[in-house]
Amino acid sequence: MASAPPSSVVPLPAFRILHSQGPTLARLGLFSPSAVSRGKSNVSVIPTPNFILPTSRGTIPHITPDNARKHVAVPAVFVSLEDFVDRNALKSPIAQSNRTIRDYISLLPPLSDPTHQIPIFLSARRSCPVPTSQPNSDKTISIVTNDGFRQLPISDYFTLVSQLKDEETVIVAPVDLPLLIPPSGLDVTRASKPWKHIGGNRARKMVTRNEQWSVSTLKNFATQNAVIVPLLPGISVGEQAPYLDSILNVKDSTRVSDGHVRRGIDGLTVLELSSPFIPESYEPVENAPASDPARDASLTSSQTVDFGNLPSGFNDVLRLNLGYQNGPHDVIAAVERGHDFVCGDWITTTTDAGIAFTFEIGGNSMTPNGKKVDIGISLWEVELYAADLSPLSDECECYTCKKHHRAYVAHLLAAKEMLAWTLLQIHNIYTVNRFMSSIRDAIKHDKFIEIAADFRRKYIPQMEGVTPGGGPRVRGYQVKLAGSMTDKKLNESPFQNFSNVN
Amino acid sequence: MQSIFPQVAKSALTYEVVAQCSTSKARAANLVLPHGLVETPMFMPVATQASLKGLTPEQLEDLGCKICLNNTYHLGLKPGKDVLDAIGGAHKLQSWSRNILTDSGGFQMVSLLKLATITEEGVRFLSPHDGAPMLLTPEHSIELQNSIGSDIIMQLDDVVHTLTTGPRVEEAMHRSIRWLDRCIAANKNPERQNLFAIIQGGLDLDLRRTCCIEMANRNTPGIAIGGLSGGEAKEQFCKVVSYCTDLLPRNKPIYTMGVGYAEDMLVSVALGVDLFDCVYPTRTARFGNAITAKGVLNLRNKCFATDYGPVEEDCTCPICTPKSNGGMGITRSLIHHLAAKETSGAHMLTLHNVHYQLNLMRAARQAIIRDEFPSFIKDFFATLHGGNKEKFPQWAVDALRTVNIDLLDDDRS
Repeated sequence: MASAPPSSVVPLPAFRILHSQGPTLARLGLFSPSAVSRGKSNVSVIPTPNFILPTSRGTIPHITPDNARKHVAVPAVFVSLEDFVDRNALKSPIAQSNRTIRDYISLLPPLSDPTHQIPIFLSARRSCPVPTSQPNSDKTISIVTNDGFRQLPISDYFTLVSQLKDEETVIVAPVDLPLLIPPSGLDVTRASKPWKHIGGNRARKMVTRNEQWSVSTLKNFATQNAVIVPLLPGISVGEQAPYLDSILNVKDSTRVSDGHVRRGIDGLTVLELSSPFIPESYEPVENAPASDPARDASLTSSQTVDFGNLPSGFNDVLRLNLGYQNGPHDVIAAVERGHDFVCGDWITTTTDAGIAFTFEIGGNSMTPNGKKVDIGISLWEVELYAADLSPLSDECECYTCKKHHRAYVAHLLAAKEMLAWTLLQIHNIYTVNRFMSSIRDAIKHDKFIEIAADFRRKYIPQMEGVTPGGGPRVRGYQVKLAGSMTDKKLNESPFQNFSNVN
Repeated sequence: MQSIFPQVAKSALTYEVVAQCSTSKARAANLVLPHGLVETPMFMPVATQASLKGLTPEQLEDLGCKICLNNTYHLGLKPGKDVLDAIGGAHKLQSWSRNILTDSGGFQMVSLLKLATITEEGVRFLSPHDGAPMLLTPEHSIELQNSIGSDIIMQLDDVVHTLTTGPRVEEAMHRSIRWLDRCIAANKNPERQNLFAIIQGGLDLDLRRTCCIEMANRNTPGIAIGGLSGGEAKEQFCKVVSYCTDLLPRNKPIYTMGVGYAEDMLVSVALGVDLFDCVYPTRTARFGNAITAKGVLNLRNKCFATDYGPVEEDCTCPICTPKSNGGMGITRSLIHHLAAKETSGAHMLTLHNVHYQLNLMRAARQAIIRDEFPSFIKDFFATLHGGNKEKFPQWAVDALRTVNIDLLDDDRS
């Protein structure tokens, strides 16, 4: 457990905004979780907008720590404690390890900058949590562990977090959500329906429970760590006003910003489980200005958060969009709506589908025949790529593209060799990094609206992942929201009776 | 029926013994292949389908691996000969600048496909793709291996199960010699692809003798001892290996196929073998097993959940090396947490296990060069069995006695 900072240290806010580009809500910022404990914000700084890569059982899916530090520059990772605890959280191996979570999972600094510590967003549940069988209670949060559904006492959660955190750990307050079990077969990317309206009693319970949980989280950790708390989904800003008011006034969460002392939080998690810019009826409007009335109307009818309605204390805190983004179009939309971090679940999903991203910002905004192009290539199409010695994406500088070629990855996929997904993941994370960097450049130069319009004009938003041979083996805990309710077998049997082949 | 005109193979390698153990038949040699130097004795990890189970070629290179295996049968199915020709071989396919050895595909015909039948022409089997009847001939196998472009190519041999007895063994041995002649004649690239013969003859020493003499006459650049490690008693395995190394020419690399347990490799080194390959270290890693000097640990066992030490104390592999020394500092607890759940856990153990195998052979080589191999192998068995000599396997004790090493004797000279 980190010791309390010396009294001379004045905690700075972990996040500051450098520049905003109106009329969109897009903004450029710097996030440095250790600014809270160190009183300076020049250590391990992450520029925003950016993405967080959710880990699975503490690892970046498909990537060993040596490859991670050499070839994969993830801006930040999301780690869930439900991946680590079993029956008794305080007796689980990680609790007894006497190590920080960073040490335990061997999240190493990048080789290029050994002093940089990658921020860890430490949460009770996964970023895309599997629905649980039991609801939360006032004192416990329902989680999915390796050996089944469990109730994690909130107090245990706090004890664990205080053992596992370090300076660069961002504490994600536990969030109380109603049991959500989407209707069978519901597409995860459109899982907005169960969120649409949360009834009166449940809404009130949610407000009081989250108030308790978030305030305790702030009291426990905000003197030393960046703390982010949830904005409650499915409830109007008015309904959750008492909650919002109390989290802004916890006396242990003092930050000094430009000489002003304020109380508050370092960030908000926003749970938008829908993909608001691509509703079923949505037809992309070419060159749509950000204040297009038609689109604004469609926005308010869906699950987007209007930050303008929030109390002003929330203006300058980090906004982490924990909703499932379904590709770069959603990321652009999230940035446009003022989100600073988006969750990178979609990167791993794309990798698992055997798709290599080829999208980029800039270059020719028009394709030769004026038709839109895909955001990636599916390397399952062996007949296209079997002997293609070009890199996955032209002029890409990632390890995969510098050292290998499409033919190899296509072969590895066809052979179901695990290295396929390793190489794809390295490339895809690299591509998204470059994409986020271009977005930040654009905001900096007040060109975000243009590049967003160019991007939408050039690329087809959705890419159908066709995986004839299937993805990597899926484990139960990897089931996404809707998956557990479908009848489909997770993994096809790798073997079949020889006589059936004929 | 032997060929009247045995083929004589050309060589694209040099093999130079740099040290010979003064007690046993162990030797250290420099084997220079078209893609660089291989210091023997050497373990060759198996990258069946042009990838070493989750590791990048760069990671494999960083482990100090100088030669790995690809399987002709698998590459022949995927990506197939046409693609290999278009790409320019397996080195380019997997961006591997070091040496590759390919087997002939014969073993998979027997191990994977029950329905394979063997005729003088070749191996007949049903395609696993569409069930169409196919024929793998020595010429076809070599043609595929020529397309793969591997530095060492293996002849197609007539593999019979180790425990087979009777005339079938003799037939297979003679057929393997005839097929060797056809393979030598079929090799289009003898100036850059070294064809190795494979000694057959089951557990019958007379058949092995005939085969060794006949095949040595073909003067292939190297020779493999085949048809072993299929479930025979270790005593018999050692007897056959030792018998063959005595008969085979001293100036050629000798390779036992499918040998990968540490004890088996070291005893074979003592019996004069240079090269080994086995899927064991990589396969067992995926089951959560770590190979260590003190034996194999199944890290999925609950007792490792709270074991925060490295997978192996003082191991210099990338995962065991502490973070403070530039390693990953992985604990047994973390592997337990990941084993059989996240592939990266398997990849980490694969790194450790392949490092173990390569390092064991490097250490053996150093011991041979210092002429301390007998005490090295004694130390190895003592460490493996916690110093308890009663646990030493009898077959190893017996086999090593034939080369003047007495494991039970404490004398370290």
